[in-house]
Amino acid sequence: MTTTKEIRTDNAMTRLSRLHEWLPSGRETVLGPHMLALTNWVDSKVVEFALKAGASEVPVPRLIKHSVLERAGYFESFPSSIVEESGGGCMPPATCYHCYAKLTATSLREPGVWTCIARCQRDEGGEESGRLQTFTMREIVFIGSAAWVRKQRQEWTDRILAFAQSLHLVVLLDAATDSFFAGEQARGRKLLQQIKGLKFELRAQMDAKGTSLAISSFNLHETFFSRRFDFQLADGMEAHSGCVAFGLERWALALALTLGPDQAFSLVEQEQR
Amino acid sequence: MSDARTKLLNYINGELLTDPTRRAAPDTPLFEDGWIDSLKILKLIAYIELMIGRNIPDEEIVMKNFRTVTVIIEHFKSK
Repeated sequence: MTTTKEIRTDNAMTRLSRLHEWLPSGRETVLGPHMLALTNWVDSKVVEFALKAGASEVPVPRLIKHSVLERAGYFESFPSSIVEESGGGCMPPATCYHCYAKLTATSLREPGVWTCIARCQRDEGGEESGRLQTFTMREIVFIGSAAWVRKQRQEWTDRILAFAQSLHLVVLLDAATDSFFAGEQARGRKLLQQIKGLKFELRAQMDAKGTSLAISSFNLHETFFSRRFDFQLADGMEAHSGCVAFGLERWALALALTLGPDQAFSLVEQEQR
Repeated sequence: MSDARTKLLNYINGELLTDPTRRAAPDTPLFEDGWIDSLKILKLIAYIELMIGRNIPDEEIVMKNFRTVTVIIEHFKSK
Protein backbone atom coordinates (compact mmCIF):
# COMPACT_ATOMS: atom_id res chain seq x y z
CA MET A 1 0.00 0.00 0.00
CA THR A 2 1.40 3.37 -0.97
CA THR A 3 0.60 5.51 2.02
CA THR A 4 0.95 9.21 1.44
CA LYS A 5 -0.82 10.41 4.56
CA GLU A 6 -2.88 9.27 7.47
CA ILE A 7 -6.41 8.85 6.18
CA ARG A 8 -9.12 10.76 8.04
CA THR A 9 -12.48 9.46 6.97
CA ASP A 10 -14.18 8.96 10.33
CA ASN A 11 -16.84 11.55 9.82
CA ALA A 12 -16.40 12.28 6.14
CA MET A 13 -19.18 9.97 4.94
CA THR A 14 -21.54 11.33 7.59
CA ARG A 15 -20.66 14.87 6.56
CA LEU A 16 -21.23 14.06 2.89
CA SER A 17 -24.69 12.75 3.74
CA ARG A 18 -25.51 15.74 5.92
CA LEU A 19 -24.41 18.07 3.16
CA HIS A 20 -26.73 16.15 0.78
CA GLU A 21 -23.73 15.44 -1.43
CA TRP A 22 -23.89 11.59 -1.37
CA LEU A 23 -27.39 10.23 -0.91
CA PRO A 24 -28.17 6.56 -1.56
CA SER A 25 -31.67 6.35 -3.02
CA GLY A 26 -32.89 2.89 -3.97
CA ARG A 27 -30.65 1.53 -6.70
CA GLU A 28 -29.16 4.95 -7.38
CA THR A 29 -26.98 7.29 -5.42
CA VAL A 30 -27.80 10.95 -5.86
CA LEU A 31 -24.84 13.30 -5.93
CA GLY A 32 -25.09 16.87 -4.71
CA PRO A 33 -23.73 19.81 -6.74
CA HIS A 34 -20.27 19.78 -5.18
CA MET A 35 -19.79 16.03 -5.68
CA LEU A 36 -21.00 16.37 -9.25
CA ALA A 37 -18.54 19.20 -9.82
CA LEU A 38 -15.76 17.10 -8.29
CA THR A 39 -16.66 14.18 -10.56
CA ASN A 40 -16.48 16.48 -13.57
CA TRP A 41 -13.18 17.91 -12.33
CA VAL A 42 -11.63 14.43 -12.17
CA ASP A 43 -12.93 13.78 -15.67
CA SER A 44 -11.44 17.03 -16.97
CA LYS A 45 -8.03 16.00 -15.62
CA VAL A 46 -8.26 12.59 -17.28
CA VAL A 47 -9.27 14.22 -20.56
CA GLU A 48 -6.22 16.51 -20.30
CA PHE A 49 -4.00 13.45 -19.95
CA ALA A 50 -5.78 11.78 -22.86
CA LEU A 51 -5.43 14.74 -25.19
CA LYS A 52 -1.74 15.09 -24.32
CA ALA A 53 -1.37 11.39 -25.21
CA GLY A 54 -2.90 12.11 -28.62
CA ALA A 55 -6.33 10.63 -27.94
CA SER A 56 -9.35 11.39 -30.10
CA GLU A 57 -12.63 11.96 -28.28
CA VAL A 58 -15.34 9.59 -29.48
CA PRO A 59 -18.91 10.76 -28.89
CA VAL A 60 -21.12 7.81 -27.96
CA PRO A 61 -24.88 7.35 -27.64
CA ARG A 62 -26.56 6.86 -24.26
CA LEU A 63 -27.63 3.30 -25.06
CA ILE A 64 -25.79 0.44 -26.68
CA LYS A 65 -27.34 -2.16 -28.95
CA HIS A 66 -27.90 -5.62 -27.52
CA SER A 67 -26.24 -7.00 -30.66
CA VAL A 68 -23.04 -5.06 -29.91
CA LEU A 69 -22.82 -6.60 -26.43
CA GLU A 70 -23.45 -10.03 -27.95
CA ARG A 71 -20.69 -9.49 -30.47
CA ALA A 72 -18.39 -8.30 -27.68
CA GLY A 73 -18.99 -11.61 -25.93
CA TYR A 74 -20.43 -9.84 -22.92
CA PHE A 75 -23.17 -12.38 -22.20
CA GLU A 76 -20.76 -15.30 -22.60
CA SER A 77 -18.22 -13.75 -20.26
CA PHE A 78 -20.72 -12.58 -17.67
CA PRO A 79 -23.80 -14.80 -18.01
CA SER A 80 -25.18 -13.84 -14.61
CA SER A 81 -25.05 -10.14 -15.39
CA ILE A 82 -28.40 -8.44 -15.88
CA VAL A 83 -28.57 -5.87 -18.66
CA GLU A 84 -31.78 -3.91 -18.84
CA GLU A 85 -33.14 -2.99 -22.25
CA SER A 86 -35.29 0.03 -22.94
CA GLY A 87 -35.98 2.29 -25.87
CA GLY A 88 -34.11 0.18 -28.40
CA GLY A 89 -30.93 -0.42 -26.47
CA CYS A 90 -29.24 -1.23 -23.18
CA MET A 91 -27.42 0.82 -20.63
CA PRO A 92 -23.79 -0.12 -21.38
CA PRO A 93 -21.99 -2.18 -18.71
CA ALA A 94 -18.73 -0.51 -19.83
CA THR A 95 -17.94 2.48 -22.01
CA CYS A 96 -15.28 0.98 -24.28
CA TYR A 97 -17.67 -1.36 -26.13
CA HIS A 98 -18.84 1.70 -28.06
CA CYS A 99 -15.29 2.22 -29.33
CA TYR A 100 -14.87 -1.30 -30.68
CA ALA A 101 -18.26 -1.11 -32.37
CA LYS A 102 -17.22 2.09 -34.14
CA LEU A 103 -14.07 0.38 -35.42
CA THR A 104 -15.95 -2.61 -36.86
CA ALA A 105 -14.41 -3.90 -40.11
CA THR A 106 -11.78 -1.17 -40.32
CA SER A 107 -8.09 -1.24 -41.01
CA LEU A 108 -6.05 1.09 -38.80
CA ARG A 109 -3.31 3.00 -40.61
CA GLU A 110 -1.42 3.45 -37.36
CA PRO A 111 -1.81 2.68 -33.66
CA GLY A 112 -4.38 4.91 -32.02
CA VAL A 113 -5.76 6.20 -28.74
CA TRP A 114 -9.41 7.07 -28.19
CA THR A 115 -11.42 8.28 -25.24
CA CYS A 116 -15.11 8.24 -24.47
CA ILE A 117 -17.46 8.65 -21.53
CA ALA A 118 -20.82 7.05 -20.78
CA ARG A 119 -23.29 6.39 -18.02
CA CYS A 120 -23.01 2.68 -17.29
CA GLN A 121 -25.04 0.19 -15.35
CA ARG A 122 -24.00 -3.04 -13.66
CA ASP A 123 -25.61 -5.25 -11.10
CA GLU A 124 -22.55 -6.76 -9.43
CA GLY A 125 -23.99 -7.16 -5.95
CA GLY A 126 -22.10 -5.98 -2.90
CA GLU A 127 -23.12 -3.31 -0.48
CA GLU A 128 -19.86 -1.43 -0.04
CA SER A 129 -19.78 2.33 -0.21
CA GLY A 130 -19.02 3.62 -3.67
CA ARG A 131 -20.16 0.47 -5.52
CA LEU A 132 -22.92 2.08 -7.55
CA GLN A 133 -25.27 0.31 -9.93
CA THR A 134 -25.38 3.31 -12.24
CA PHE A 135 -22.20 5.28 -12.64
CA THR A 136 -20.11 7.34 -15.04
CA MET A 137 -17.14 5.69 -16.69
CA ARG A 138 -14.44 7.48 -18.68
CA GLU A 139 -12.26 5.16 -20.71
CA ILE A 140 -9.07 5.47 -22.69
CA VAL A 141 -8.75 2.82 -25.41
CA PHE A 142 -5.52 2.06 -27.25
CA ILE A 143 -5.15 -0.19 -30.26
CA GLY A 144 -1.98 -1.28 -32.02
CA SER A 145 0.63 -4.02 -31.92
CA ALA A 146 0.95 -6.20 -28.81
CA ALA A 147 4.15 -4.47 -27.68
CA TRP A 148 2.77 -0.97 -28.31
CA VAL A 149 -0.44 -1.67 -26.40
CA ARG A 150 1.47 -3.15 -23.46
CA LYS A 151 3.71 -0.05 -23.40
CA GLN A 152 0.66 2.23 -23.48
CA ARG A 153 -0.84 0.45 -20.51
CA GLN A 154 2.40 0.81 -18.55
CA GLU A 155 2.59 4.53 -19.34
CA TRP A 156 -1.03 5.06 -18.32
CA THR A 157 -0.51 3.08 -15.14
CA ASP A 158 2.49 5.22 -14.16
CA ARG A 159 0.65 8.43 -15.10
CA ILE A 160 -2.51 7.69 -13.14
CA LEU A 161 -0.70 6.29 -10.12
CA ALA A 162 1.31 9.54 -9.94
CA PHE A 163 -1.88 11.57 -10.39
CA ALA A 164 -3.63 9.75 -7.53
CA GLN A 165 -0.63 10.20 -5.26
CA SER A 166 -0.40 13.90 -6.11
CA LEU A 167 -3.97 14.19 -4.80
CA HIS A 168 -2.94 12.43 -1.57
CA LEU A 169 -5.15 9.43 -2.21
CA VAL A 170 -4.03 6.34 -0.32
CA VAL A 171 -3.72 3.88 -3.17
CA LEU A 172 -2.56 0.40 -4.06
CA LEU A 173 -1.95 -1.02 -7.52
CA ASP A 174 -3.16 -4.58 -7.45
CA ALA A 175 -3.30 -7.49 -9.89
CA ALA A 176 -6.95 -8.29 -10.43
CA THR A 177 -9.41 -10.51 -12.21
CA ASP A 178 -12.98 -9.80 -13.24
CA SER A 179 -14.79 -11.01 -10.15
CA PHE A 180 -18.07 -11.26 -12.01
CA PHE A 181 -16.90 -13.90 -14.47
CA ALA A 182 -19.36 -16.75 -14.18
CA GLY A 183 -20.07 -20.09 -15.78
CA GLU A 184 -18.21 -23.36 -16.06
CA GLN A 185 -14.90 -21.87 -17.15
CA ALA A 186 -14.97 -18.96 -14.71
CA ARG A 187 -11.98 -20.15 -12.71
CA GLY A 188 -10.03 -20.79 -15.90
CA ARG A 189 -10.74 -17.28 -17.19
CA LYS A 190 -9.74 -15.72 -13.90
CA LEU A 191 -6.51 -17.71 -13.77
CA LEU A 192 -5.65 -16.80 -17.35
CA GLN A 193 -6.19 -13.11 -16.56
CA GLN A 194 -4.01 -13.52 -13.49
CA ILE A 195 -1.20 -15.48 -15.11
CA LYS A 196 -0.98 -13.15 -18.11
CA GLY A 197 -1.28 -9.98 -16.00
CA LEU A 198 -4.16 -8.73 -18.13
CA LYS A 199 -5.85 -6.66 -15.46
CA PHE A 200 -4.62 -4.33 -12.75
CA GLU A 201 -6.73 -2.19 -10.49
CA LEU A 202 -5.90 1.02 -8.70
CA ARG A 203 -7.58 0.67 -5.33
CA ALA A 204 -8.14 3.63 -3.04
CA GLN A 205 -8.50 3.34 0.69
CA MET A 206 -12.00 4.46 1.64
CA ASP A 207 -11.98 4.36 5.44
CA ALA A 208 -9.74 4.14 8.47
CA LYS A 209 -10.26 0.36 8.64
CA GLY A 210 -8.44 0.00 5.34
CA THR A 211 -11.43 -0.88 3.15
CA SER A 212 -10.50 -0.19 -0.44
CA LEU A 213 -12.41 0.23 -3.66
CA ALA A 214 -11.17 0.04 -7.25
CA ILE A 215 -11.24 3.51 -8.79
CA SER A 216 -9.49 2.63 -12.07
CA SER A 217 -8.52 -0.47 -13.99
CA PHE A 218 -5.75 -1.02 -16.54
CA ASN A 219 -6.58 -3.80 -18.98
CA LEU A 220 -5.15 -5.76 -21.89
CA HIS A 221 -7.54 -7.63 -24.17
CA GLU A 222 -4.98 -9.20 -26.51
CA THR A 223 -6.82 -9.80 -29.83
CA PHE A 224 -10.21 -10.53 -28.26
CA PHE A 225 -12.03 -7.41 -29.46
CA SER A 226 -10.22 -7.03 -32.80
CA ARG A 227 -11.34 -10.56 -33.72
CA ARG A 228 -14.87 -9.98 -32.46
CA PHE A 229 -15.27 -6.66 -34.30
CA ASP A 230 -13.07 -7.49 -37.24
CA PHE A 231 -10.63 -4.59 -37.11
CA GLN A 232 -6.95 -4.96 -37.89
CA LEU A 233 -3.72 -3.08 -38.50
CA ALA A 234 -2.98 -1.83 -41.99
CA ASP A 235 0.06 -4.07 -42.35
CA GLY A 236 -2.23 -7.06 -41.96
CA MET A 237 -1.05 -7.77 -38.42
CA GLU A 238 -3.64 -8.58 -35.80
CA ALA A 239 -4.63 -5.59 -33.70
CA HIS A 240 -4.29 -5.79 -29.93
CA SER A 241 -6.32 -3.57 -27.64
CA GLY A 242 -6.17 -2.29 -24.10
CA CYS A 243 -8.05 0.21 -22.01
CA VAL A 244 -7.94 2.25 -18.85
CA ALA A 245 -11.23 2.79 -17.04
CA PHE A 246 -12.09 5.48 -14.51
CA GLY A 247 -15.08 5.15 -12.19
CA LEU A 248 -15.55 8.89 -11.83
CA GLU A 249 -17.94 8.87 -8.86
CA ARG A 250 -15.57 6.51 -7.06
CA TRP A 251 -12.67 8.90 -7.66
CA ALA A 252 -14.76 11.79 -6.29
CA LEU A 253 -15.82 9.75 -3.25
CA ALA A 254 -12.25 8.65 -2.55
CA LEU A 255 -11.14 12.30 -2.67
CA ALA A 256 -13.98 13.49 -0.42
CA LEU A 257 -13.32 10.74 2.13
CA THR A 258 -9.54 11.11 2.11
CA LEU A 259 -9.17 14.88 2.06
CA GLY A 260 -12.46 15.66 3.75
CA PRO A 261 -15.32 17.20 1.75
CA ASP A 262 -14.20 20.82 2.14
CA GLN A 263 -10.65 20.27 0.91
CA ALA A 264 -11.84 17.99 -1.88
CA PHE A 265 -14.43 20.49 -3.10
CA SER A 266 -11.79 23.23 -2.99
CA LEU A 267 -9.92 21.43 -5.78
CA VAL A 268 -12.70 22.51 -8.12
CA GLU A 269 -12.84 26.04 -6.73
CA GLN A 270 -9.07 26.50 -7.12
CA GLU A 271 -9.42 25.56 -10.75
CA GLN A 272 -12.19 28.08 -11.33
CA ARG A 273 -10.18 31.05 -9.92
CA MET B 1 15.58 -34.41 -19.37
CA SER B 2 13.92 -35.23 -16.07
CA ASP B 3 11.05 -37.70 -15.96
CA ALA B 4 8.68 -35.10 -14.61
CA ARG B 5 9.51 -32.65 -17.39
CA THR B 6 9.07 -35.30 -20.08
CA LYS B 7 5.79 -36.39 -18.54
CA LEU B 8 4.43 -32.86 -18.43
CA LEU B 9 5.59 -32.08 -21.97
CA ASN B 10 3.94 -35.26 -23.25
CA TYR B 11 0.70 -34.32 -21.54
CA ILE B 12 0.72 -30.79 -22.96
CA ASN B 13 1.59 -31.91 -26.50
CA GLY B 14 -0.66 -34.97 -26.44
CA GLU B 15 -3.73 -33.74 -24.59
CA LEU B 16 -3.81 -29.95 -24.61
CA LEU B 17 -2.34 -28.83 -27.93
CA THR B 18 -4.73 -30.34 -30.39
CA ASP B 19 -3.27 -28.39 -33.34
CA PRO B 20 -0.58 -30.73 -34.77
CA THR B 21 1.48 -27.75 -35.99
CA ARG B 22 1.95 -26.62 -32.40
CA ARG B 23 4.39 -28.55 -30.28
CA ALA B 24 5.79 -27.21 -27.05
CA ALA B 25 9.47 -27.59 -26.18
CA PRO B 26 10.73 -27.33 -22.60
CA ASP B 27 11.31 -23.59 -22.92
CA THR B 28 8.33 -22.62 -25.12
CA PRO B 29 6.29 -19.80 -23.56
CA LEU B 30 2.95 -21.47 -22.85
CA PHE B 31 0.82 -18.38 -22.42
CA GLU B 32 1.54 -16.52 -25.64
CA ASP B 33 -0.46 -16.71 -28.85
CA GLY B 34 -3.45 -18.38 -27.23
CA TRP B 35 -1.84 -21.80 -26.80
CA ILE B 36 -3.55 -22.31 -23.47
CA ASP B 37 -7.17 -21.22 -23.13
CA SER B 38 -9.43 -21.01 -20.09
CA LEU B 39 -10.36 -24.70 -20.22
CA LYS B 40 -6.84 -25.96 -20.91
CA ILE B 41 -5.38 -24.05 -17.99
CA LEU B 42 -7.73 -25.90 -15.65
CA LYS B 43 -6.66 -29.24 -17.14
CA LEU B 44 -3.01 -28.24 -16.88
CA ILE B 45 -3.34 -27.28 -13.23
CA ALA B 46 -5.27 -30.46 -12.41
CA TYR B 47 -2.52 -32.52 -14.07
CA ILE B 48 0.27 -30.74 -12.17
CA GLU B 49 -1.67 -31.19 -8.92
CA LEU B 50 -1.80 -34.93 -9.61
CA MET B 51 1.92 -34.95 -10.34
CA ILE B 52 2.90 -33.14 -7.16
CA GLY B 53 0.21 -34.62 -4.93
CA ARG B 54 -1.25 -31.40 -3.58
CA ASN B 55 -3.63 -28.62 -4.50
CA ILE B 56 -2.17 -25.45 -5.98
CA PRO B 57 -3.65 -22.29 -4.46
CA ASP B 58 -4.74 -19.63 -6.96
CA GLU B 59 -2.21 -17.10 -5.70
CA GLU B 60 0.60 -19.46 -6.76
CA ILE B 61 -0.66 -19.47 -10.36
CA VAL B 62 1.31 -16.55 -11.74
CA MET B 63 3.55 -16.12 -14.75
CA LYS B 64 6.84 -16.46 -12.87
CA ASN B 65 5.82 -20.01 -11.87
CA PHE B 66 4.14 -21.06 -15.12
CA ARG B 67 5.98 -19.42 -18.04
CA THR B 68 7.35 -22.67 -19.52
CA VAL B 69 7.46 -26.38 -18.74
CA THR B 70 10.98 -25.96 -17.37
CA VAL B 71 9.85 -23.16 -15.07
CA ILE B 72 6.85 -25.18 -13.84
CA ILE B 73 9.03 -28.18 -12.99
CA GLU B 74 11.67 -26.04 -11.27
CA HIS B 75 9.05 -24.21 -9.23
CA PHE B 76 7.18 -27.27 -8.02
CA LYS B 77 10.03 -29.72 -7.55
CA SER B 78 11.08 -28.22 -4.23
CA LYS B 79 7.62 -27.55 -2.83
